[in-house]
Amino acid sequence: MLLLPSYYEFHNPVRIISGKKALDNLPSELESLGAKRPLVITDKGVSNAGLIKFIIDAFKESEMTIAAIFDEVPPDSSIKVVNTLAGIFTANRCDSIVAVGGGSVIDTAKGVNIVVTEKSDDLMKFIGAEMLKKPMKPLIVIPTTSGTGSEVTCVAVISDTDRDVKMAFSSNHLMPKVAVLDPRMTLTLPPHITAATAMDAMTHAVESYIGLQKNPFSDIHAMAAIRMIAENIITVVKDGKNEQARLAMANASCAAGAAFSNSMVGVVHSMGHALGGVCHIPHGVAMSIFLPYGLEYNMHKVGDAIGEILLPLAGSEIYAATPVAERPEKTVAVIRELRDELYNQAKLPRTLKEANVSPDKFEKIAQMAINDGSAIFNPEELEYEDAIGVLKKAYE
Amino acid sequence: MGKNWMGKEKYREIRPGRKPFKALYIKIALFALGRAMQSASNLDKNIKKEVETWPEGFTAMFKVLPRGPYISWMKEKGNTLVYKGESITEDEADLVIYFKNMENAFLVFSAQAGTAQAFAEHRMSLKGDLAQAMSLTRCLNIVQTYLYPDIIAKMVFKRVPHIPLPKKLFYRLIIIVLGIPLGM
Ligand SMILES: NC(=O)c1ccc[n+]([C@@H]2O[C@H](COP(=O)([O-])OP(=O)(O)OC[C@H]3O[C@@H](n4cnc5c(N)ncnc54)[C@H](O)[C@@H]3O)[C@@H](O)[C@H]2O)c1
Ligand SMILES: [Fe+2]
Repeated sequence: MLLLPSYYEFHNPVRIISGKKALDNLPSELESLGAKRPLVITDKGVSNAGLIKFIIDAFKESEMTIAAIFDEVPPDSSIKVVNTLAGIFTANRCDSIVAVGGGSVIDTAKGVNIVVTEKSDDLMKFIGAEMLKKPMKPLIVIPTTSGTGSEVTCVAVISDTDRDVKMAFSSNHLMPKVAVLDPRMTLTLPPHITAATAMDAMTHAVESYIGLQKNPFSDIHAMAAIRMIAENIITVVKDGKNEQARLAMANASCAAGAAFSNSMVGVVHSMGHALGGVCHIPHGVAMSIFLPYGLEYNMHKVGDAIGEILLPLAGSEIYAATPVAERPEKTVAVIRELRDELYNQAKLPRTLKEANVSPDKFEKIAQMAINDGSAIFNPEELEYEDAIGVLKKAYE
Repeated sequence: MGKNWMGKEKYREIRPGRKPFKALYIKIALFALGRAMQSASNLDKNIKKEVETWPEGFTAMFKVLPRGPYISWMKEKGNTLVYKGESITEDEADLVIYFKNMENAFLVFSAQAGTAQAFAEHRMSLKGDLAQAMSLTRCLNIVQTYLYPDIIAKMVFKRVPHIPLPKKLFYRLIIIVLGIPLGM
């Protein structure tokens, strides 16, 4: 029986437009938000892949001027670039933001939005959960990776390169106004990044489905996402130019984003954020490494939910052929097979050893993991010794 | 303006009422928690370990929105946590954990919901660094383990922090007899 949580909240105010030539609606979407001079934010990887041309083309025959294009966002964003961009926003009389890129670009755009809305040059003041009270400038997001789901989340993660820490901001006001999912925007993503970001999306969906705050609405988004990812992940890694599969992955990561933005993520993300912080392992790679171990860690608490994931993950035949009691383990086994396949296709590491993480970093990673906010939403408590245990299992 | 059958104005405005008993309960619960935390920070080595990681002069606050009550602590020399009651202002506090309203605070302080659940249900929000909030939450779990009977602890925690029984009973006694009433 489906048990309703005693209390939950679900919020997704983002308008999602998806499909063929979706991008060409950009000027009219901006116009309906009352915007006239958007600032376009992107990074070198995206602009070198030739994707900004699609943006510029979308504005042809419109009456809207792109006030500025900035393509120097660094990986994982930074406070410095947020402040630079806030200056550009003001100097060029911009009134809205268009983010074209992966999580790094999208989170930068959210950071810029905080600074220009609050008219403060100190991002630190707004660090925390639900600290932002003012409505922001219109932000439209065009994801070019299928992973973070940041186009529908209320979270921004920005690193403070001076102090070597990642700062987390969360507020409903950080939600973009529109997410544009256009198959053309992810075709150029190389196989390795495709695989890693897809596993990030998979982890969002899985962790939100087993998390403390799961609810009927987040569940539906998570299940749809898992199914789309399971059906398309190998195709997009093998054949990056397959538009249909690419669009399915863009939809999946967006749905997974809506799921975890509401029910949050857990131990896989706590461990992954720490691994990223200490060893600079890309977020998606870390997700792929820890996902099976995170599921095993929570198995005794949420085995039923883990078993239910088998249906979208492996399809109805395998699900029906697996006795209920064996489904949780089968789910983990199928995820392991998927990781093997991704290792063969794109050399995506499956263990800490394959990712060249040395065990002498474990203490530091574990310490950081238990201080990561997502640990609080995990079904099982995460203490230092537990984190060490997960790291040892994930080593080889 | 029309009058209704009681002779009062029909479209009157309604000023916010008050909940004096709940407010009093929460005030007392916050005070007890504040003092218990101070006392436990001198006793429990796991709390000490957490407090060690905070910078000196670090201040943390619990506040019920929008009008209080609230309490605060400061880390002073020698890694002790000192209960500061209402003597620190919200702006001065490095870390503030807010309860969205009095009912949400009541759920937590009447042991109907744990901190993790309250965060997950958006009943609490946060100003400040998430890592420090996680550390404070762990301290809070330990203090509540001393304060709550075991069956309640089992209900509100994902996993009850492990404290050997004799130690738990002894420290519980100290906290309740000396810590809370006398601030020791
Ligand atoms: N806000 C959230 O909810 C949220 C959630 C998860 C992760 N994140 C953050 O997102 C960041 C990771 O984002 P990401 O995984 O999308 O990676 P990313 O944005 O860092 O991009 C990875 C690389 O791929 C390149 N690239 C992107 N799109 C491309 C395309 N279409 N063609 C060719 N190259 C392309 C980029 O230039 C970059 O070099 C992390 O900083 C993480 O903290 C945020
Ligand atoms: Fe993620």
